[in-house]
Amino acid sequence: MTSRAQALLAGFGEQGAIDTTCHLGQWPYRLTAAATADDLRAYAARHGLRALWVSHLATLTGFDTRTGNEALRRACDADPLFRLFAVVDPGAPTWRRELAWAADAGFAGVRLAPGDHGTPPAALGPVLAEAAEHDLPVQILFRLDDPRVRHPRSSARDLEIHELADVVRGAPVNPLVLSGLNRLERVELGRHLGDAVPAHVLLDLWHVNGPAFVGDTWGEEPGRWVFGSGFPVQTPEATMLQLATAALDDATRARIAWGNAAAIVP
Amino acid sequence: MTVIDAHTHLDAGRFDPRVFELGDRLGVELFLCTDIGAFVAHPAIDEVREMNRTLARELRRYPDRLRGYCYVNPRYGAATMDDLRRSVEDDGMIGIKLWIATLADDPLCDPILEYAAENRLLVLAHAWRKTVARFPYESTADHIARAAARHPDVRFLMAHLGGQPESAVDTVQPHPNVAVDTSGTIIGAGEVALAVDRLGAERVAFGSDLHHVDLTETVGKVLGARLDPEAERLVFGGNAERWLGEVAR
Repeated sequence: MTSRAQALLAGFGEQGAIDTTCHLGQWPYRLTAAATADDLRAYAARHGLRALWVSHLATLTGFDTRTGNEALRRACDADPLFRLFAVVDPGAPTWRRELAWAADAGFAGVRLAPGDHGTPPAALGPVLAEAAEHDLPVQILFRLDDPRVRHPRSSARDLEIHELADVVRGAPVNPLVLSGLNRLERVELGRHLGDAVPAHVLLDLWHVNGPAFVGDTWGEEPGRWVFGSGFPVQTPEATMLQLATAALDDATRARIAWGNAAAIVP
Repeated sequence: MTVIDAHTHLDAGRFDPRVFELGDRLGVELFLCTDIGAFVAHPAIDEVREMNRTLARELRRYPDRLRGYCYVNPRYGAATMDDLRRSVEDDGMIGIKLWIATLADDPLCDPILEYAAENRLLVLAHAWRKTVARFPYESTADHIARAAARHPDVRFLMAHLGGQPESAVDTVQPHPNVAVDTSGTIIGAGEVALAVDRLGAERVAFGSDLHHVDLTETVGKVLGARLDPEAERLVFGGNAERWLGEVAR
């Protein structure tokens, strides 16, 4: 029945992928969308993942980011499976201290969530610059869910794509991974940048789920994409099966599954 | 058992034959399809007729892989009914597509739904409770539930898990003539499993929403629900096969 699809999904597990968009903790809007460190380990084992980039969901909704960042560290720091990303809120007066603390504590990178934190686009630039000073890659969680189905009481508001383009235009040459854009938004971003998106800007895949055969186009920019599923907020097998079945040569599929991410965070 | 995709559309007047090849790789054999043109929300009757003629041509072209839903704009009354009868009785369509020309419970839909009951047609009804970007006349599960209560002999397939699955599934749960499909770009964790848990696997059907959604994404979404084998069999085609077997010929 679905054995062929199951076999393709199992084939993805042989890639040794890196999931660049994972979360520890509880998604506030669906009780079942939650992951402990053990859940993340089990998820990685189930799909043959070699590494997970992870931050704590509590950093998005709490009064501070430190609580979630420290909880992440306690839960995951000792396990080499995890690449810890500290979430920084540029609207907090302490963001510089938080970033310096994350660098000193050995975090692998920084995540920004302007939609959830209500960050004006102009406030992102100084964080990008300072992260580059610390040699920390930055991941912008453009969104964590589809705004059409976002909980009505969520205060998250996505940036406009032209605002994101302004951020990219002013960003230093330092790895910058954008999470949660769909295909049309990727195209719009490119247009705002004269179809010259800098090579240090990469995008993840969880929201690039249409139209049919969209995965076949990923080979046009093999250095542009990283596998990122949104687990446990999103269903990761959806993106895995897309990547497993896309018409890509083996080298390109490997770059997207893990190579591009490993080049940013070994 | 045949693996069936219960929710697809033509793309620019054709069903991309590459989808059949991909379906072969994934194990998806049959596609239930409609033509809503270039997402024409409020089409004139001539446009609807042309869309259904276009679909009929594709059905004749791929008789082993496609079945058709007749697209209707309920605002055109008798003319819509004539086109519906022709599409079902002459072109062999197996169902009806209600999109956003009217709400699903608009009385204008009643003659269409009465005809569906007489012929045991499958009614694929768009529904989505959207937080942003809702269309005019875009039904939610509430509209589907009211239509289902008024037409208990009609088999409704509510699209996209109702858009917001918790509220939508709970709303239609008391109406056994409403099933849901899994189609669309949303891949929120646990949504398919939630629908199966609350409605039972016999009321959930795999759908993709091709061509503006990737078939593989939608198959992966259902695999990610990690259903038990019997539930997976029903969702991936057992239910749709049973419903198609009931359509009057």
